[in-house]
Amino acid sequence: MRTPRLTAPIICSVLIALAGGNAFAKPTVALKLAGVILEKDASGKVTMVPVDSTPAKPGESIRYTITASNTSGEVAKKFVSSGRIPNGTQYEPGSSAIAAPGHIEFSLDNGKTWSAKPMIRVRQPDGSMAMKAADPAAYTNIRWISGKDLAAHASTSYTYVVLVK
Amino acid sequence: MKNRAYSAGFLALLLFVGIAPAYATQTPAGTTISNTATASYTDSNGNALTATSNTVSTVIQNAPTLTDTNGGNQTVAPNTNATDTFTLTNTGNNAGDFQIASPTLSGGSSSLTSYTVTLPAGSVYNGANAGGSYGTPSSGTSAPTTAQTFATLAALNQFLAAVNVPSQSAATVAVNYAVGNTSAGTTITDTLPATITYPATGSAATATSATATSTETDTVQNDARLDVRKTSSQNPTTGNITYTVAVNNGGAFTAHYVQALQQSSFGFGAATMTGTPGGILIVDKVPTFGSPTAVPLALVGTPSVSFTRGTNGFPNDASETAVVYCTTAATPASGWSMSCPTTGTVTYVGVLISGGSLANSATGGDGLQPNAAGSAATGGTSPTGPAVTAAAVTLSFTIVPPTGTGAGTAGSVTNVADSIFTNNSATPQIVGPTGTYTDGNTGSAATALLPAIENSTPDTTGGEPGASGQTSNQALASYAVLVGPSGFPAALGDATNTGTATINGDFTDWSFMDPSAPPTATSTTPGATVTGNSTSQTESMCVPETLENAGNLQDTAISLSVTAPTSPSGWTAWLTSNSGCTTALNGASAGSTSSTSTAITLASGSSLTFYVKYTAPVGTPAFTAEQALITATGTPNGATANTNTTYDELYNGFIALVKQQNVISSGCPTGVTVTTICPGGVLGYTITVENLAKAATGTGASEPASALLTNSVAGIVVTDDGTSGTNWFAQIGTTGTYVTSGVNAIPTLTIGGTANTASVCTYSYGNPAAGATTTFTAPVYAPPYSNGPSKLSCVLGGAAGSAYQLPAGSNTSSTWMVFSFNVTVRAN
Repeated sequence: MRTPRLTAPIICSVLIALAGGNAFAKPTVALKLAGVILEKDASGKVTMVPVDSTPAKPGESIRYTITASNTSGEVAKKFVSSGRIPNGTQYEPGSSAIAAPGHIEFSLDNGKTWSAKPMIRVRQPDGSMAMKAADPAAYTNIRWISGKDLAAHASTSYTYVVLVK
Repeated sequence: MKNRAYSAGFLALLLFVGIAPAYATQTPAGTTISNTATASYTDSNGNALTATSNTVSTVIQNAPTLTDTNGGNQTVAPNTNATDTFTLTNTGNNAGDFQIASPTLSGGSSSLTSYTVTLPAGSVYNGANAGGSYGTPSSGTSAPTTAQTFATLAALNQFLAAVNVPSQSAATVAVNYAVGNTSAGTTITDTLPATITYPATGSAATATSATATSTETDTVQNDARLDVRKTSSQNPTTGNITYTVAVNNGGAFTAHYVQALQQSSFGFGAATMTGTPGGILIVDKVPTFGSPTAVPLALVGTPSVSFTRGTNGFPNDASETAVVYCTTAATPASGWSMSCPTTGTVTYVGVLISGGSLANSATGGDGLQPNAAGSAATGGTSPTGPAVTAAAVTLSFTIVPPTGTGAGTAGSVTNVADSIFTNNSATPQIVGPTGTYTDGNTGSAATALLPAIENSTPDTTGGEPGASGQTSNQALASYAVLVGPSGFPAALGDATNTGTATINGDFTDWSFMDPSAPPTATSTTPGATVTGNSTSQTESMCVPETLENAGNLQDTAISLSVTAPTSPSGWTAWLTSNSGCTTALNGASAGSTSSTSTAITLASGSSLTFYVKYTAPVGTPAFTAEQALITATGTPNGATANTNTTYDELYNGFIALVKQQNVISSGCPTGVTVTTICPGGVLGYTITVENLAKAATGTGASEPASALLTNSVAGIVVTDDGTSGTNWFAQIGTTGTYVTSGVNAIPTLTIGGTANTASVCTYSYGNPAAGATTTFTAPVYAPPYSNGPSKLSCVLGGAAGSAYQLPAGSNTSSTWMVFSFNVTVRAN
């Protein structure tokens, strides 16, 4: 890249503008993140409150929704969306889904490595090492691999829930 | 950016244990939770592109929560200080200060004394006034983590309000209270509500938790209680009595050592002065018996004690032990040593439980630990009192049985074992059968506890804690009856002349006479069997005897029988109960040659005076012993008969006078026989006085004087009237020719051959002698008397009232009295 200090959308926009036609058009995807706190009263009734309007308490859940909108006329190929499990929270297993052929992967190391089912090595009582599925509470990131393109002017969204520790 | 696919296996190689975050820690208040999404994709040329979302943030607010737990329900002893410890844990997401809201303590006589709080590490002052000496430390200053005690709830809360306790840390609040004199079974309820308040942190506002409450229910149980059960057994052959004293702590808390036993006055020495001081003392007074001064019964062998560490409440501590001690002192206040002589000098036997290295506590440590299932304060039988089914300590010792009067009486020896220990009261109290005393290594404490270990009152209904029931024993039964002379049933005599006096040969001399035919000797030869007249009518007499129960217990089946003399025929005998011989003794029949009384009851050592009425038939000869036999029969000792006999020697007169006439000088020419005495001759009269009653002969005889016949101090009075008939003054015996000039000199007396000049004579003169009578110590011949005394009457061997008393059996020259006087013959 010629302008390493610029962000990708800006670069795309510049390139499109310089090209002056579709032959140089790049797909543009806009991401929006929203969060609501799922407050449950004594009767079990759940009320959703935007995170920006109220503080959270330990034990409460926050549901995040990522909405991706292809605002261009170009197809965004191999579209993958990622979310974080913020510090002070933990992923609630099963709180997210994706339609086939897509699949979800998780990271234990802030996105360096990914796996649909992260494993860890543990030391057995006899001293030997064995592989064991990692606790979902240890997940640091989540990503949705759609397995398909995001069509021009199309949008898609993903949700997941974290628990405030 | 090119999407990369990583296999699970590859990921696994990169991840290790420990990566996972800690779950327990809550997200701290004030923490900002931020999130941003990203996306990646490519264009149609394969160029990697990305997208980033907006950032969503929220702040974590204060979420104060706490847990309040107690240390678990516990048992407490009356009059002790107890502590319920509550743990307050800050389980929320911030540091905060605890507050105690309206705690309650109720039940029995319990009362709050104080609170003690212990803060966890990391607790810091928050800048508020902590109260009292704490003042207002700067915010952030570390608060003390050592125990802090507060007398009031207000002081406690002021301190707590000034301290922030870290999240996930716990403080303890101990509620200290006095149980008071609360009866066993009472529950004491201790409730401690608490909250925690978090300060405003960042944009997180201050918040207070809901109230957490914990309630601890303590149950009052009996303090330590030593149940002492004493039993006894007896060797059927030797009669030795073995005592077993079993001791168990039937309370719910440890029985501790009595510190006062350290006092050197007791003598326990190092056992109570080194290591863990003091001890528990079990004391058993050695039974005493005897009269007038009861003395301890001698130990047989050495007393022993048994226990097993770790069993029935005896601590599993190799340095705690139980040792037998004895004392020969009059009281258990002194003289204790491990020497237990068998010489009958030991007055108290004890077991000292001492030593040990365990830390003392209400339910553990040195002493005797609770074994509530091992005994009961009441319910024991034979004897009634505490029941011990699982003894921690058992003392055993044996004594000889009592002997002598009453020894066989049921319960002749009784005994009670005592114990002392110190309880768990806030002010430790010595607990003994007679009460409680404040413990301490002081002389006054040592003196105060003495009544507890001298106690002789048994614990029959749980009223004398620490004492046993009362054992009751006696010597093996030994029946023995004795019958003998009045007042002397154990006299030894030889009524049957065997040469040896025996308990069955004792006798009583008794005399009687027929007033119409006084006993008169016809014998003229001293020393020979004295003959005389005999009774002309029946004569009765009432002879006292004594019956005694010399056995060691009461006998209710004593019988008496008497067999009258057999010669001459016609004697009868009757057992009577009164000195007049008019009331039958226990149904004895009269009028026969024998008489029997049955079912006489006599307590051990007691006696009965009874009387035998004899009736002598006509013709009973004078000066002859007529022998009756009395037999007493008591309950036999197994197969061994239990009888005793005594005799009555019955005399129709027992003082016999044998008179002889001798010619001292005839006054006749040579060749004239003495029967033809001549004027100027001298006649001598000799009167031998014999006491024919049976004497206390036989080796070992112990016949009382009262059972033997002798003359009274009025004396034997010999009267010889020379003017009576053809007697020596007016007419000389066979001649009829001469008379005498009376007694010519002072009469003489020998006793057993030895001259005695103490006789006192009264002389009469003339014929008849009833004329002028003058008493002189010696006869006179001076005018108006032309002759010597014609009659004399002499008290032998002394004046009346102090005359010589001739002992029974004085029928030989070595013992009898010989009274002599002479008269001078003259022509009529």
